[in-house]
Amino acid sequence: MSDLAYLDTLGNKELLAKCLEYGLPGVPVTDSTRSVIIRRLKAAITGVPLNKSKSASKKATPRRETVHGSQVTTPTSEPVRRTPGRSAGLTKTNNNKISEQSRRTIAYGLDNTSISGRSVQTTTTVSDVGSQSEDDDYYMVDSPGLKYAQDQGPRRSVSLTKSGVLTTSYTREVDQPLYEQEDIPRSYTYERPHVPAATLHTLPTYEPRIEPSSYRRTDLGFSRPLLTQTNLNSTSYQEVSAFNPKVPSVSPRNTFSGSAMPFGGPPPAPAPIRQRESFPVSGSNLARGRLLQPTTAVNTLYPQLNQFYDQPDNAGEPMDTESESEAEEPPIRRHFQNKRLSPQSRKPLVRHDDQVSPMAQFRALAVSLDQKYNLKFYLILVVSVMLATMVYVVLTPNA
Amino acid sequence: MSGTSQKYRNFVAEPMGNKSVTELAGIGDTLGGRLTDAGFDKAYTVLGQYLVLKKDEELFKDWMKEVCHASSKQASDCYNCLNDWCEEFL
Repeated sequence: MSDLAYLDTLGNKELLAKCLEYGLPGVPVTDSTRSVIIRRLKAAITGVPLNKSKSASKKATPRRETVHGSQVTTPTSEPVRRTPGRSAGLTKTNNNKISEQSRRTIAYGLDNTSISGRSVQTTTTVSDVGSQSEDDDYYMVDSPGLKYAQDQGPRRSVSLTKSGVLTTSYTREVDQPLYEQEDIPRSYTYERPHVPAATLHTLPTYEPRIEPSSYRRTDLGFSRPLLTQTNLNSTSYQEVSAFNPKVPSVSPRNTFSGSAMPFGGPPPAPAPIRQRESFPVSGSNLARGRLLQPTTAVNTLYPQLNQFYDQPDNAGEPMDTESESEAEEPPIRRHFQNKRLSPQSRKPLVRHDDQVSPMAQFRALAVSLDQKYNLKFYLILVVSVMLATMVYVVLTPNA
Repeated sequence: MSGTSQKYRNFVAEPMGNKSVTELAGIGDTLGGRLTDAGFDKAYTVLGQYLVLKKDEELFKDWMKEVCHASSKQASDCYNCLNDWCEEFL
């Protein structure tokens, strides 16, 4: 009480000196501010805060609120945020200004939250910066009571919402690769329906790699082409299993070109090997190989892709290639169906196709030539002409 | 927590000019009457007090509570209103 009487009798200048003596801000003492300043001096002298706000207000009351909010956020939020927050805080050097900014940011965040969620994210990041900067600056200076933190509960909740937004952003990053992988296979799927010819081009390019290897390498006894093919197939299956169940429907088409791209880890290595080996082999092959490749290859490729991954599409697409392959298709499909259960079983299927293929392909070639050029008709015509000449020569008495 | 009021947005959106003290966020007719009785009839007088107190939140709130018996929320709204206005126009 003696302090009260003493302070009340002091003049404005004396009160200002007292304020500075006790570390209070040098607020000009006027008739309107005198009472408030005397209150503060009482609290500062006695050391017992009359109001929670007064005790906090000695140095920086707003800071306490923000500090608490930041303390709450710090465990949830990552240290990375602090660095941008500090940088933003550095722009405003004064602590008071920083505290004010944090308050403003909070207010803006509230506005934005009511307006739209996107703006909330941006505003929340800003507010985090301010609050964290305040934490960094003031955390050591002030030891505010927990009570203030409760008052600032709403602001803290904003920071919590911010942390939630950030977590969502991380989830998006995880999802992006999935979308990319899915997008690539989808592009392949779209190509088929639009231009069947394009699919034919793509398919023969892939298939010749398999077939030529079967002709020569099987004869020579090399296992490389088979191994490479098996690797590719196996990788595609394994990756499919590793990924979500939805992906495999699209991914099978990736196995040719997309296997290397979307599946970053193991697949890229075998893919280049294929191409290198396949290209020289195809180039060294005779004209037969090239002619045979597109016909048989088209048949094999479509059923493989369709049956493995897209069963409903199987019926329509392979028919587009050629009618000759129909005889070969059913066995291939059977093999693939068996292989569906065990992805590694593909290779033996390819070998089986390659072993049978020389005869079957020759027949197919003959049939195709017959249909295209009517060889039978010309052959019969030639034979008939020859027979006629023979008969004419034999029967003519000129000899 | 709650969004800013329309009164707050109206006040912060433009220079205060000679607006009445009741135009401040958190200041209604009752508190406006008390402030007017205390000599703070215009918003810029309250702004002057806010500036005299060196933008100190606690001091301003204490002053508001003392002069017009404002509640913590009313004082906080008025402080935020003036603070944001100063950030925008001062």
